[in-house]
Amino acid sequence: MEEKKKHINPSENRKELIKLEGLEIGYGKGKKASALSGKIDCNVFRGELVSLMGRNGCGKSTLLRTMAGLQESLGGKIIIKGRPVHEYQRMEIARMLGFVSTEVIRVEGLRVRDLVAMGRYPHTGWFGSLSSSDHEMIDRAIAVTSLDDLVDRDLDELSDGERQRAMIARTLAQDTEILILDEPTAFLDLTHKYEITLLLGKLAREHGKTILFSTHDLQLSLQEADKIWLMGEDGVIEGSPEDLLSRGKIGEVLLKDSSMDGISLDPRTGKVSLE
Amino acid sequence: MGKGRYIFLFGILGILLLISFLADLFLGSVNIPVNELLSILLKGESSQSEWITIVQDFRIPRAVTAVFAGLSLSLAGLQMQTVFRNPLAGPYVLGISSGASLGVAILVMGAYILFPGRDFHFQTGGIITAAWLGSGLIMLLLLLVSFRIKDIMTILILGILFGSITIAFVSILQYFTHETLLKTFIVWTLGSLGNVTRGQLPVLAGSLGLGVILSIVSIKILNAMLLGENYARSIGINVMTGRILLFISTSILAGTVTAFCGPIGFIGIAVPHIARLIWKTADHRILIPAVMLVGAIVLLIADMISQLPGSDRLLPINSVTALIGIPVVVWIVVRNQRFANLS
Repeated sequence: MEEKKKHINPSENRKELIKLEGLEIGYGKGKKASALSGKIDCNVFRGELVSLMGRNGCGKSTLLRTMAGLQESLGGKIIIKGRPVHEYQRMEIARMLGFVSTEVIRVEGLRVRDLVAMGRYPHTGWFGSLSSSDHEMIDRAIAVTSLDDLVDRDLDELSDGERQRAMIARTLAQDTEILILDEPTAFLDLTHKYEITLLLGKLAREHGKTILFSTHDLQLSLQEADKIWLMGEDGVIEGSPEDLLSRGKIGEVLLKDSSMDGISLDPRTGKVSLE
Repeated sequence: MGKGRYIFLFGILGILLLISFLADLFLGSVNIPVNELLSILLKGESSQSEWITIVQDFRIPRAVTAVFAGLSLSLAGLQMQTVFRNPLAGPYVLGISSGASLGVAILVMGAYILFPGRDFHFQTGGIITAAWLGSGLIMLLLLLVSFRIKDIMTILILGILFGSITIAFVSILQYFTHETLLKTFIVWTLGSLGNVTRGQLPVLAGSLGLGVILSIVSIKILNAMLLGENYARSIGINVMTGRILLFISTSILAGTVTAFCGPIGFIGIAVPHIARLIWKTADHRILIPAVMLVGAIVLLIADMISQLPGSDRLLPINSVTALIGIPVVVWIVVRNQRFANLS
């Protein structure tokens, strides 16, 4: 934990890029609405890598989808760059926020380069013709995600890790300040989990991206994230990994009501132990 | 996989289209020698004047209809496969052909039920209009639904149910009608490329042209929809506009072909897969012209088979397209066994 590189200089003027104010998420409308979580008050600063953690079914995906403008909120506000998200046009959102869902995309005949090129859609005209600067952007996204050797492959033929990198490359081509990723390391083996998480870290540190991703991988979150959002029934608790760990919050939210007796989280090391 | 390869494939298939078109003109119950056929086509003259009539008034309209119908159904099928992300979707998933059947059934058989005992003769114009109105009605219903329902799979299921309920109505009409009228209707459902007259061709072309234009206008939307509606939204696509453009385009294409030629099955499902296999791409900028080309060729070939070369009998075109199309569909299903995981 000690060797973690903090890239944010505390003296720097930290700005809230995303701010959630009393946000309520869930499904339905009016009287039939069912909220998934308590009111959420949180924020993400520019250039931060934020990991969203919580137990299955607590509403992580719903929160991310709502923040990406793909789902209506039930109440409260999502403020991005000082403006409530519902005031933005769909195209404006697409130019500042890239999204990767858990959905596995399989399209016969769709080549990696064509997929990455779709990231340029918010920047191109009605027919989607690409200019030379669009192509440059696509090349750069491919280089950053080390996909150079795979550009002519079918999306169908990629491994899970490669496909995830291609989906991330697409959002890089989209050239957005914010990336929101729903469980980008699910289904991946240990090497690829690290590969994707380190890629996200690099994008935040070297490319100035502001990233929010959900994960179940505590170890990776503790090591790499600048901040953790812990999602429970009453909303979201935010804090640095060290802070949340020492206050015992992580164990409280992630292991609470566990049917397993004797499972506990060491507040110093972040290790889960069984008696 | 560069541009050169695409152009080469379009060239080859273009030549194949020309050959199939000429071969289709050559085949028929009356045997017209090749040199006479060419002379009629190029100079408009022949040693026997009835041959000119046969070629100009029957064979050319028939072959042109095959080209138009083939390209339209295939394009409609491609659009539906992309919008619903389902490899087995086709031009009729929205219930368009059932709507057209209902229109025709009401005209042909409803009249008898209202005025029994009278004799009816139906102009092709009347049948075309009835089929058009029927498919238009289904399209309007579907558009109303798609404004309100967000989930695309729900719309697919509703389209299938609309189709089923119209078929139920048609069955009731069939049950109560007179034999000769029933036959008129059954003959319509077998499909025919030979009912379109020269005078009607411009109407057919104009209507289908509008459908094709709407499709070309939606190229970017179609490509984005390959990733599903959520991803399409996240890259700034207005999914609702896209759906409406594509539903209207598909309804015009499939509805018009059904109105003029009756329901012609399986071309629309099979051809997009053949085109994807040949061009090895998912990009609609290539696929749209590709399916149109392949669709025209396939329906011309189906038409030639339906003429049963060497005999003077005709097979119903709908049976021939099923015989060609179903093996392709079977092959898609067997090759691609992970349909079970598609959600």
